[in-house]
Amino acid sequence: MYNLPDERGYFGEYGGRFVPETLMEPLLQLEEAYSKVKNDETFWQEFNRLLQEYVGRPTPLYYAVRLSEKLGFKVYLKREDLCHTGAHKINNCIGQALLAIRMGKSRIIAETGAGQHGVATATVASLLGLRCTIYMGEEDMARQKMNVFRMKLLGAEVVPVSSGSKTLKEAINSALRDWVTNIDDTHYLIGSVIGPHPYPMIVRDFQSVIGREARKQILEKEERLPDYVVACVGGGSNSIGIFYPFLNDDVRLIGVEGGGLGLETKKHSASISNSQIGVLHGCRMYLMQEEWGNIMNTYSISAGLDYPGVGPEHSYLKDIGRVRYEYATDDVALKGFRELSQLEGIIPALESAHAVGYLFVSDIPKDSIVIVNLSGRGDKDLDIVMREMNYE
Amino acid sequence: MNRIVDAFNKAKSNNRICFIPFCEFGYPSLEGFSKVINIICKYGDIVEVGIPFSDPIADGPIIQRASDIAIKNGANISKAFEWLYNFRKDNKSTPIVFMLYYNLIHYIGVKEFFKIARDMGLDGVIIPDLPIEESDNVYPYRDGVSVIWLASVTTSDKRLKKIVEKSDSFIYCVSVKGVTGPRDEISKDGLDLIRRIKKISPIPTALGFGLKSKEQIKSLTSLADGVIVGSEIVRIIEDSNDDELERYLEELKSATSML
Repeated sequence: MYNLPDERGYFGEYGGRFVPETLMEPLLQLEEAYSKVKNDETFWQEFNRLLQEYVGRPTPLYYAVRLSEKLGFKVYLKREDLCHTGAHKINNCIGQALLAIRMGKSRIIAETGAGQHGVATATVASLLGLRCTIYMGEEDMARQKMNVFRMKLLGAEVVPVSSGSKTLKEAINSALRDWVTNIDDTHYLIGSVIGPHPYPMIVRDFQSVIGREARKQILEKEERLPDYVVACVGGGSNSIGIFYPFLNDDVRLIGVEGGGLGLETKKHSASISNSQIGVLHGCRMYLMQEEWGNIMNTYSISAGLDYPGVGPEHSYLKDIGRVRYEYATDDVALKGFRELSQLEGIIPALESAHAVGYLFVSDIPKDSIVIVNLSGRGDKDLDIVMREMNYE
Repeated sequence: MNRIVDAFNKAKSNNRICFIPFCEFGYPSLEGFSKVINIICKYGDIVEVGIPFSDPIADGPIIQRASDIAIKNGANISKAFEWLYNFRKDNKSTPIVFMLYYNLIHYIGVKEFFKIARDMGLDGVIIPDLPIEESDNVYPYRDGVSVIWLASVTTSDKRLKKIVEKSDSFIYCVSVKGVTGPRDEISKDGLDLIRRIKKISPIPTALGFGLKSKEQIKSLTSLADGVIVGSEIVRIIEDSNDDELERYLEELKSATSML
């Protein structure tokens, strides 16, 4: 029976708590607070009520008829793009913010790449009356002006990060430095299944609502489990969220990483396909590095996948062969983006477009039943896609 | 490791506490570093050398910047070992401790890293992102090289006990909640941390994070066994000439006297 992480926060040889000493006590406090609410029904009632009334759950499992005809197998889309704020990120934000309140914290901080997690965090902070600071790379701020404005409108302070590659990796560094300085009143609301224990476990648990719903919905519609579940993988929160409830089933799980300009170009963010292991941001995981251990500046057309590591649980699921990890290049993702828009009237986030695009290059046999996690909507990416399509 | 223990004993017998200056390998340049370290070794009882890393999460802006510049200068852990090997040809007495993030050790492989460290004449390592809960990753492989654990103002007495048990040279006491960088005052919690350790163990303690002035150091001589000064030295290396660096180090060193 699958029951991870262990009490030291390890999934096999991945995970752990590689953090400055000052952060150990708040991590232990978080672990304790979480284990307390785990069996506290009032906490989950509140969580589920907000998911239902505020986020709009359950999200539909939609049978994509025209896409299925074109591909030759049945595709169901798990519509996380219909969540309030436009992506699955808010599921975890609600859970962690409620937890922060139970721990007596009055301020939350978060990192963001494209801005989805930042917007979701700022939204929940506004909803629950918490002070909020978001760290965002300068480069990303320039690319995602709308989301920066959104966060500010929601009442969050957005702090530009100008070190290193000025993207998500540095935003996490800055958030960790803020946290270590302000642990008394601040909770760090990590947005993916990365970071030190207990974060990968907590984020997975809050996101696994996606898979639980999808499993129930497909049984209602098809009276059987799917043959495949496909999701994109950056840090890995939407994918673990949909995979986790299927782990003990006879269902093939496929994670699609950001292949960028192709693995041979080194301009990609396919950490697992890259096969190096390292330690960053508090955990041991598949991690892209330069010679002598500095972390590589990765690339993907989608900011949400542009991260050099991948969650420790994914790293473990890869090694035991339970999940297959593939990648989709920028071009394949753009194909998915166009096809879904034109066949189904759904404009996906570029992250999710990697999972959709992968279907077109996969070896999935005809007549299979496939669930794809459509983790977010594409409004935020229109600028980028316009440029890529040379639209004047 | 023995050189570190000796340094604390020697300082004590001279009625001083240990002075532990920090500098960043490869900063301000690879050659510049060799010059700086020779000056620093004149004053430091133990010298802490930071190894540049792309993601130094425990460091404030001054050391972050030095680390970035050092990387651009081509500095890395391999070159640092090479430097140490040559350094040890002329200097067999100054204890050298590397401050480096865990991934740099992990990259080489823990066992291999400590073997090289011992062979090159490294006395200890400070790993700012490795808490005692992860000690199994390195402790069994240290091979005569001291692993210097950090204790912080937030560390509970229960965990402090575990840290003391695994310490074989000294404990690096983090005086503030936060990252490295000079501060005007030493927190009461920082002083309490040293007292809490003294209560359970005779292991030497050195206070770091935030120290910059001779007054601060003077005020610690009756309590701590050592002081670590980092960011302010790096700042002076950037802004001033060698003479000023030397003057600053001399001033700090004389403040370590218990008399």
